[in-house]
Amino acid sequence: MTLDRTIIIPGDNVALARKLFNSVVYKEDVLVVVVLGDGAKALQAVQSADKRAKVVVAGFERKVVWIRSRDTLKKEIAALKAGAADLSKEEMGKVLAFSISLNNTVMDVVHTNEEPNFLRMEQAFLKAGTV
Amino acid sequence: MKTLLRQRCLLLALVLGAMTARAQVLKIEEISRDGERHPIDFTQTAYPIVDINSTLKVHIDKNAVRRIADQMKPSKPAVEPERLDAIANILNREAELLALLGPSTRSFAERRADLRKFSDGLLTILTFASQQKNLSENVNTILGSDLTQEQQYAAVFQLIREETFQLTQEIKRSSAAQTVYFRLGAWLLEDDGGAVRPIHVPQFDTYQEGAFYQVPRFVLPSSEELRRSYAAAVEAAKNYNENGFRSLDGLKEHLLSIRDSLQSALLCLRSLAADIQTRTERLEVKSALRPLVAHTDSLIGMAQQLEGLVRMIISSPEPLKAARGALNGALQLFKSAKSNIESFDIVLKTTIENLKKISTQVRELAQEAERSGTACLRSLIPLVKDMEEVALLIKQWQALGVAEQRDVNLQFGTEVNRFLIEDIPDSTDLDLRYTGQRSPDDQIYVKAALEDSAVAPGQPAKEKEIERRVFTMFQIDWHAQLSVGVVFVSPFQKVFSKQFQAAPSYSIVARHGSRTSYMYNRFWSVGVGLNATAPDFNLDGTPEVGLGGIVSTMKDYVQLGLGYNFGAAKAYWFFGVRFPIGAITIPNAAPPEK
Repeated sequence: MTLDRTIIIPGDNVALARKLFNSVVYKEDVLVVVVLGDGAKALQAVQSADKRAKVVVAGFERKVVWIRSRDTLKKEIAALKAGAADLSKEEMGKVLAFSISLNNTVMDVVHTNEEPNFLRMEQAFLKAGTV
Repeated sequence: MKTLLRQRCLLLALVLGAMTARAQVLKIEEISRDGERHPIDFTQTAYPIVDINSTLKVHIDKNAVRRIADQMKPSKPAVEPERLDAIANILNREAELLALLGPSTRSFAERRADLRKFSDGLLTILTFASQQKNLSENVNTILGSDLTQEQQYAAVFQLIREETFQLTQEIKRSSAAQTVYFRLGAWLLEDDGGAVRPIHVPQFDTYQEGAFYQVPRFVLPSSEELRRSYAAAVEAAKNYNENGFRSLDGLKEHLLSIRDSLQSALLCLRSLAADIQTRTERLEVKSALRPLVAHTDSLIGMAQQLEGLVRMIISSPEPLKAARGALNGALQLFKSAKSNIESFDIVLKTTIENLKKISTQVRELAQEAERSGTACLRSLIPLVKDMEEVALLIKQWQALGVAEQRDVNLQFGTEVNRFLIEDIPDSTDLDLRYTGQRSPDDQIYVKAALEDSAVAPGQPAKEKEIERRVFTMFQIDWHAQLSVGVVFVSPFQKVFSKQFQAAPSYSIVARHGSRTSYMYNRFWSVGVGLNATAPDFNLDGTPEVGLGGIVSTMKDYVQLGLGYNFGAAKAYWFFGVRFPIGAITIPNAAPPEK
């Protein structure tokens, strides 16, 4: 399965990682789902999110950012503003994915104990579009 | 953070409030004749006041009814009906939402709004889908398929539409199967404690609509009443002017006169009753009939013997022997029968003569009863009017203070319809003008109830009253009435020895009722208007004409005003006081309210 709408953040180049992340989140008017980790569930989440990221609503596109190493971009993630969801209240080890709105606020969190199927990832994108 | 905390506290308060608040099934607003709407807030008053000619619009909250009905039965629907309604609304907007897919040429702000609209709608239905096991699997499959995005969403809409339809049908089936019915009725209770009578509620019963009656806003007594009242007022004024306030002693004398009349009427009636009883006993009707009865018994006995004889002859095995015995017996019977029949004839003729005499006596008794009874009745009739006035006074002084909810037993008649929850009409208009004859301070009761007819055969259905509302009717909009009375006039410049001169007067007083105060409607009831009176300042026996303004309160028990005597060219002030009993001479005021 190809990942057409996914940006894979490199773990070995911090500067590039930061540049790519900031570009997608802060510079582009897109709805973003960020997936953390590298396991089977993370892969399923990425594949499901990538499929749902093909949808365009009112001209707004969707994108997926895959941060394979949880240690990468910790500060940038922590700096994200809370929206309907608040990452500062979460145990990051249990966060599988989260969605970001056009206002750059965190709107939905998918936990590691949830099934990251197409329906769930679609809900994450939709939640990001509600503000 | 603080905002979020405040929001959560508010949400919790709202949820707790909703849980503890009494379920309100009926939302009622009053629509007055000029079309103005007055929503009725039962949290502010349990006994609202409405205008006597208005319309009560009753809205029924079906979801609230359903919630209560569900509590009567153990099973609950899988999904709340309100949620299904919300989802149905979004499904109905499918075309509008799917049109937002793809690129757009609208402005950024407009596109943001479109994105929000799409996201909110789809999130609602997908959240619902995720909570229904089979549905979530199917929706997930569609979202992972290779259909175009439009096809995917359209398929999701269709799937959810089918699911909600199934759930709605299930709710309807389970509600119907649970046999809980809704009923709504209304009654009118008259202020004088009369019977509670059911009134027609459109769509909810088959009672006949009441006769149209609009309580008039301008009350004008008949010309005969005006003439009579004015004559009484003239007499009252004359009495006061000649005898002063000593004429008030007439009240006591009048009451004594009522007592004496009652006593003599009672004596008359008792004497009449005793007389009738005595005369009836003397008629001796029973003893006149006794011989006839005795002879009739004797003839019956004889006939029975003959019958026995014939039967014996028929059944005997030896016809000749039996025949000889029977013939002897028959001869004896025939001898006594002849004399029995002859003496019966005599007794019959005598009895008829005696009865004819009695009927003459009965005719005389009837004539005597008519004469004595009529005389007693004539002595009672004048008392009726005086007692009515006393009763009216007592009732009016008692009619103060706040409303009380009388303990009224409201039973649905068979004419009140039963509705399954889904079939309850959304609202009804109860036009008070079609509830028949009514008066201020009468009350309208509205009751909603659920009936569970799933009971053992022969048992009545279980009724659970879910809401009862009481409305008291008063004339609120501006209304006026013309009345005749006596006022006590005092000119600003002294023109006679007394301070006050009584004079008959006409007043037309306009009032506006209160929607919030019983005390005001029943007691204070302030009115303003015009007054015309006929004082005699120059004491020449010819009254002059005075015109002025008047303020009246306490249901016309107290009146105050200013006027100008055109004949004497003098200004004056006046007061009026209302007394109820015509004989004591100050019969002011309004015609009786009933």
